[in-house]
Amino acid sequence: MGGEVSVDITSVPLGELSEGWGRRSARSVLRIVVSSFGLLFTAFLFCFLLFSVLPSDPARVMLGPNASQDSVESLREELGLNDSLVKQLTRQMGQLVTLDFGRSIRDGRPVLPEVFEKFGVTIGIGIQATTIALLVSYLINLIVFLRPKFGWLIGLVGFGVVAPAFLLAMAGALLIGYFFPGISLTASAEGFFAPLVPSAIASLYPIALMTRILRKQVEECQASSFFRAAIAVGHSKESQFHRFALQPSLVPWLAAWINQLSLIFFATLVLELIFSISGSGVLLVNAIQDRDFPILQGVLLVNAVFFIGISTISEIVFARIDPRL
Amino acid sequence: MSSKRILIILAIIVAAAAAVILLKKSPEGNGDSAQTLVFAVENDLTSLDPTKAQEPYTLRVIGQVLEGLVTLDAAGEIQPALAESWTSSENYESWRFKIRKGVMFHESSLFGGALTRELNADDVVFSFQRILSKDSYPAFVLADIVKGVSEFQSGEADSVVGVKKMGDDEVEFTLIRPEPQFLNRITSPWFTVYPKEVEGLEPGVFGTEQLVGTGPFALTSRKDEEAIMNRTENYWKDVSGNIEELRFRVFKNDQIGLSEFENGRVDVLRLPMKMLPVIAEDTSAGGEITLNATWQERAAVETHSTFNSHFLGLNCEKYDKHLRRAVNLAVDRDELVSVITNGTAIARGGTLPGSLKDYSPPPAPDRDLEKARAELALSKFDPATQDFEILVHEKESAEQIGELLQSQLGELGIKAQLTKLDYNNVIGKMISGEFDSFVLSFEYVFSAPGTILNNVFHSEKIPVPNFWRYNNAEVDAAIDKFQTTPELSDANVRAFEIEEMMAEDPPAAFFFEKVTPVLHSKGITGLKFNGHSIPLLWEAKSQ
Repeated sequence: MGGEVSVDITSVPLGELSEGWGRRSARSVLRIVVSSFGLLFTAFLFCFLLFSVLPSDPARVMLGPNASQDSVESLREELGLNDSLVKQLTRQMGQLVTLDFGRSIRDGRPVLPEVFEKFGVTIGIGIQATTIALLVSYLINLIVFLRPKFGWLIGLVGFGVVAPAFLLAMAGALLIGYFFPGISLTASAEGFFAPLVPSAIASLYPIALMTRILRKQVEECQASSFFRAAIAVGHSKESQFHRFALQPSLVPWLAAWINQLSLIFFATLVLELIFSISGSGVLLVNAIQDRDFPILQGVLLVNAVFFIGISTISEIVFARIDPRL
Repeated sequence: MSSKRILIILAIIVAAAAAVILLKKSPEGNGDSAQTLVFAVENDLTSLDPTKAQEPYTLRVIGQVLEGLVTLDAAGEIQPALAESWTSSENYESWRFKIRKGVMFHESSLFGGALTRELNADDVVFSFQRILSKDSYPAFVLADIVKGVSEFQSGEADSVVGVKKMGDDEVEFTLIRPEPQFLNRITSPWFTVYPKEVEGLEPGVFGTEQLVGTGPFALTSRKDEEAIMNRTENYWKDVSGNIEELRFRVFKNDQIGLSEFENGRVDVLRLPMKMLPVIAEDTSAGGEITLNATWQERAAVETHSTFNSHFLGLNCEKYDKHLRRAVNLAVDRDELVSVITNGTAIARGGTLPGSLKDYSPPPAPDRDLEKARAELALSKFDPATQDFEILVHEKESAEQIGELLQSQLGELGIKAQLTKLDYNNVIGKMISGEFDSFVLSFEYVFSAPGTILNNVFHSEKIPVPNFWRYNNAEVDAAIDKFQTTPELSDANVRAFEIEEMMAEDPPAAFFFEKVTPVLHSKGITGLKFNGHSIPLLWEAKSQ
């Protein structure tokens, strides 16, 4: 065996590895934070300018079309809307930095608790939906690996990619209403299954995507020499799948999962409207329609923090799974 | 784990899920659960504070919990509520209300250990001062009539001088000018009374975490998607209904709302016009609806009228009366009624709804393209060279109405262009006068003709809410005479004459007055609405 070159990963000092990983991770996290806050600032500036050029004004929206111009002017003065744009922008920036968003100009509710509550609802749906997608994509791949005759399952779930989200949501809701009249289709419904209905519908697209990604990875592994070696050594089918197909596929599969968790935040708006859920999508749309800038500011900030959190966690998790990253 | 075992486990999970789903939970709605009524509302119940309420669905909920000095019954009559009686000065410039004794507020932590207390005049004064504050949505209704509102809103005064306590059980309103129909301004749930202790709450708390009133139902919980209330014990008035628990549940999607009604989780559903073909076999103007065979077994349908008006507003500063008459004569109201409301609305030529107490509006003009062409020829508007823009928005089928009008005016030779903006932008353009025409509807809070006509057509109200910038001295003078017309029957005659006068110089092409179909389960009886579209659910019975 004299001419053979072998690298034993365990021979690399642990401290050296983790220190290198730590530096890289810290750099990545810093990059994410800086770019996310840059995006947040741009979005904030864009919304501020958009609101200032629109022909309607927040005081008018708040008091309605019938209020006299004098009443609207009094309120404009109180809200500081008659100040110069620079002064208004400075004030809003100050609020953004100090996290003091004040109250909704529409109904006087404190902004941050309101935004957190609505985000919680949307993130809840997102986490449920992507978790369902994670489990289902794993199970389908396992079934197809063990019993290749069930390969049609991959094609079946592929429907989730081609059908538009609103069509899936609407058709799904009406079919559930027809075939399972015991399941309530509203956010106010109680019972274990009711809140799962919108999540299950939201999971259709991620299921399709993640099933295909995992399937592709598994097929690549199956074609590799180490997989053939595993078969030759006599590993059971389950062991072949879990140790030699699933494990090397974890990074792209979980990356897709993280990516879907971020994207599903936008997809839930349709679900919020169909299932009457009070989530952050509806909150954002209403804030824009009502010219409710404090709420919009809050949504933008919490949104940015959420994405920074997700990206940071994924950096750390991926580096743990695969130290080469 | 062998593949067989995995498949067995999967099969067990699926079977268990199916079993749980198929073990149908007993539904709350459709009268199956005794004395619980589930009422569908169309959007989030974010705040139930009446000073923030902008949409009728919020007022429907508020109207069960809070009460005003007076109220409107299903027949359009004003009825005493928290005021047991009232008197006005001889010239109708001041109104004195005697507050009902023995009325208790709903139990709440607002009152500390005592949990409740009796209503008094301080509560009434506090509530109306709050209603008239500068950030209150309904302030506009009283701002131009109650003395001292503008001084209060501009900060020159600490309170509204026109709302005064005259003793423990008396409150007086002083007006800027005589108004015999003043009571018709304060019948909506916007003008309801709550305890003075609300003053100590943080902004935004009243209406979200707290809503305390004296109404037939007390709020027990509120989430954006559902408000739950229970019948008030020892309510001051004897009421005939037997509903013990009331749930207002949000359905933003009409089809889902109907599906939930079918599955027994909703008892009362205000049906959008576009869903009518699903349930109706036949419809007719005024809201006669015959359910199809499938739905006859499941439900009953009733219609109710509200004080509404749908129209194409025209810029009177820009267009002469001949062009405005031409547009009026070219509009095919029958087509609009048929397409937009499935034939259920009533065609109108004026803005005053026939649902106002004892009012019969003049007949709507028939379409007459020949006369319309003659009027167009007399106008300064040249359809060959001038543009005609119709502003539309996302509410009340405005875009669909705009498309129909575009085609109808096209037959007259006017090439109308549709511009779709969001509702608030359309309002912004209307107020600034940057418009040719706009599709809009009004849901009037006033329940008397004089106040409506004064509010929207008097030249003093330009630009808000006289959006069309209508300036007709003859009409102004006729409207001013309502100040000396105390009897409603006389006011109705005067209103009819003004509407006929305005037909010669129209500020808009008024199309129709809508009626609202309400689908309800057969077990519900005694379901009534008033002209503000408030359901009088304390009179409903569940069998």
